[in-house]
Amino acid sequence: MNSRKEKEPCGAVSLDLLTEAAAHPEGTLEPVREHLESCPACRAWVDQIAGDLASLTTMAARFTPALSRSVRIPDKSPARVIPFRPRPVLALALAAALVLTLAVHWFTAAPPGATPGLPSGPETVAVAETSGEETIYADNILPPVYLEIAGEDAQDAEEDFSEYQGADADSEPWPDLDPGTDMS
Amino acid sequence: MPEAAVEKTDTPEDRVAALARRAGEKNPRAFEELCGMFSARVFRMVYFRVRSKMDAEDLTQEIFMAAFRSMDRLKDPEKFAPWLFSIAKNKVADHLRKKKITSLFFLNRAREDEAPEEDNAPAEGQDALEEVLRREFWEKVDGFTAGLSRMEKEVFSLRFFSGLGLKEIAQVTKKDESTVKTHLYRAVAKFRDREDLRAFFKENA
Repeated sequence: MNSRKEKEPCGAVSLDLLTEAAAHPEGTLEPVREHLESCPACRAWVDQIAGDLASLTTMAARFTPALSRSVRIPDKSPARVIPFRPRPVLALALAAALVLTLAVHWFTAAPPGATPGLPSGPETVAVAETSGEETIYADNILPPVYLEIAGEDAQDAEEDFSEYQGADADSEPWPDLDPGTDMS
Repeated sequence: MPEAAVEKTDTPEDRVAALARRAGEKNPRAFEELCGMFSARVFRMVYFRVRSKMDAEDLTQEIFMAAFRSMDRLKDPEKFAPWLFSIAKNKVADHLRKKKITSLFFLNRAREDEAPEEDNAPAEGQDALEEVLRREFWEKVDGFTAGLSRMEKEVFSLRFFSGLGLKEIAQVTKKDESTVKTHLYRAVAKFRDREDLRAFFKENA
């Protein structure tokens, strides 16, 4: 495919400088320009590279499809839409508002008696079942477990307490006492 | 003679600057003339990057609409061309970014179905040989530009596909001219070393 013969520069000027002259002829350094004027080999080499670049441009234009619809512009100049651009001041204000909201929430959400920001004591992990024993505590403040240790159960303790109180005044009348009865 | 005809000017650059000045004063006719002068070049620049005729046409329309809306922000009318190509560059970058994101979620399948390969097919009457040549050309261009750095590719395409000068490229890319020159020379040096590629372009141009 590559059948054409590449031209060779004379070697007096570096390939990079010649390449620069091909890529941007207006920016060619003065010594290079002078050399190119006097050296047909280097000039031909530069022209070859510049020609290949021009071919690339030509082909790119040829193989880019044509713009099939023209650009439409409204008759009236539209009002410019100003896009939202967050400014640093706005960002700071938003951050401050967020901090304030969180702080208010934090203070109002703390339980009564607790110091905001400090833990409110150890967490409850279990609740003792005591509702069935409240009656016993009212008659005998010792919990049943101590009674059991003493060889009595809650029922015995209750009976002992009743005996100590004596007969029920409502159900059983007090016995008549003889005046001569010794009460001591 | 169009209504927006401007005062007699010496060079095409002067004419563009005069039209840009008028367009900045909310003159749609002057802007239309600028569209006529630049739409093909902008389209070519966009097409080189997106490789879809439909997308390139949509983007070209968007680019000129964005430019029209922002004409009052163009401070120096003499810099209209680099300013316009900067808008084009940003629009294309946005488009490619969106496309990349949607492709992650397979959302672009519908679009691809709508715009199959014939989207880029040559117009009626062009023969199959031309089509083969077209495909081969873009394959070779892609193969070559794949070996360039991002900046080399940018500068090379703006110079040889869009026909911008070094000063304009420097304004579009927001780099200084010497940096642009360095990248351009590196890219052309790589082009110089590809004899097979150069021969192909020379033979088929």
